[in-house]
Amino acid sequence: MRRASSQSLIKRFQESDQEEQARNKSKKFELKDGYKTQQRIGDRIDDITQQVTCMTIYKRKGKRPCEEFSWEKYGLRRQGMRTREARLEKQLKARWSIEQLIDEQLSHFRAIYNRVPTTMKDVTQLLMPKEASAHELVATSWLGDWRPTMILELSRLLIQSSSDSAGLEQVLLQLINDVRIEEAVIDEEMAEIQATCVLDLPFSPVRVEGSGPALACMQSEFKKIHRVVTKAQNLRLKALELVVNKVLSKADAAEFLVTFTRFQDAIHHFAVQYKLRKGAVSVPVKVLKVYPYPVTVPLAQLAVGTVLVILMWTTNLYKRPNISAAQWCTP
Amino acid sequence: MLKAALFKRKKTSKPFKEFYNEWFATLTTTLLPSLRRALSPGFLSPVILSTQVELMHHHFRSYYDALDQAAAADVAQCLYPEWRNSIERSFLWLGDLHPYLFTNLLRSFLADQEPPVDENVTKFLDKSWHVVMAWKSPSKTLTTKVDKIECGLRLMVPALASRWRNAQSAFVENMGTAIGEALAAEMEDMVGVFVDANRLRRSILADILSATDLYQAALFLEALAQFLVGFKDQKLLNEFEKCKIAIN
Repeated sequence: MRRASSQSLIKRFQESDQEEQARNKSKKFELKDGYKTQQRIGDRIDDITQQVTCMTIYKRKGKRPCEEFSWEKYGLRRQGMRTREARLEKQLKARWSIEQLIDEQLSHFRAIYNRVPTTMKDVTQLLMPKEASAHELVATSWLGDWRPTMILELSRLLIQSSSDSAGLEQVLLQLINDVRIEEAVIDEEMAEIQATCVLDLPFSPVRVEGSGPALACMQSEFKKIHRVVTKAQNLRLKALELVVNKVLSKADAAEFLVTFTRFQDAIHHFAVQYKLRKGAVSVPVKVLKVYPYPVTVPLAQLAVGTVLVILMWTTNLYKRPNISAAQWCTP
Repeated sequence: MLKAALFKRKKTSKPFKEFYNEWFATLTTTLLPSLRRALSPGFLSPVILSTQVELMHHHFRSYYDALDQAAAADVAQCLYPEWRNSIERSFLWLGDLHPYLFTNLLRSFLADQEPPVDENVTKFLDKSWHVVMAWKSPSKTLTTKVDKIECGLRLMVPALASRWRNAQSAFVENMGTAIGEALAAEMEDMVGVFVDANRLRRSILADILSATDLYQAALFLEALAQFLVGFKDQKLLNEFEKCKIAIN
């Protein structure tokens, strides 16, 4: 009877563990071993029952929950394992989805930074986008979008908070230095165009007549700017990809991308508010006073001076100089 | 009564866009024609020419002074000026002309010493002898001075570009605090950079005018003004805006 009850208990456990048994046969063997052990314990208890009274029965009854507890513990352990397994699986999936999200976000930035202007007007629009406020451009912009070294600086700022950042920070500092040099080279190229446009634009005062139609000449200048802007865009993308794919771990990269996007949004909104608060820039009126008849002033001075000189010479207030024709001819 | 008095009060400031349009109109309609007239053979008088050169120089100086004042109010709008047209915007360096542009223009005069004979004759008919000969065989002193100006520029220009980059880096570092404070701090730094860039432009102009003689200075300023006027050529601007041809 007792054996039957313990058998039913085992059966109950066996039923509850049916799924695990199907997955792992070795576990089933373990259960069978457990069953045999249980039988041995049951026999021993039967012997004691024959000698001892109902008190022993109580004790025996007390033993049973103990046996049940061990099986419950086993079940709990299994359940714990299952939970951990599920959690691991979930984390694995989450890791994959984080990587996927990082790739998606990176593709989004790739699409922005690979966007190269096609017409002359697009070049101007990229350099001074209408949708961006001037404050936003001053704060972050370099040839159309975020300065590459700023992207790297932002990632450095993020890793500074983590404990194991010394080595990583060193790598980033080196990277910032390298990218800074590349930025300076691109800056030089742009400066060259801005400085020589006075010679090359169609309305240049020193341009040789007949050097082609004005618009073609203008296109040639904008082609140069286009090349520089493309280089700047590539450098930006390179900096971002280096940070996300090479320098930071996946978790840090995800955090960086979130912060980067949030900063962009925050700066944009703040700059718009800032501009609204400031309004159009103005200058004091006194600066604007430009006398529109410039020739009149020296002419009036000359006239007054002439009258004074004639008066002084004719009234002998001042001795008239003796100027001979020979003096005029002297070089 | 008080309200009326308040409304009647003279305005103490003016939008910079309005100032720029007026400044440009003065350059186009008054100063450049007067300078050209002063350079013409029938009107040539060193006194008047000197006055015209001084007026033109003062006009440029007043523009940079106004820019400095505007920058103190809001430097961002000066660095990315909305009052400039689409063609101008691509060629701006720290909100205005690149300082190298002045020396490049000057160099073009130094290089252009031997024009073809036909051109020389045409020029002679349009302009006086002094004007035609202004840039023929320039003195060694002038060449040395131009070299010196360019040498100074080579030091100053990268330093200014680097200051802008540092201001942006500082902005990133300060973003951890409040974005408003970080932005205000950067704008303050940029006012310094912008004012120094204008100071550099002003000093280059002054150096060029002091290094050149009257006729050379007049021709240089005429070319500079003509170049600025060229940016506003409405026909070219319309063609530019409508052009759909791919540049690549």
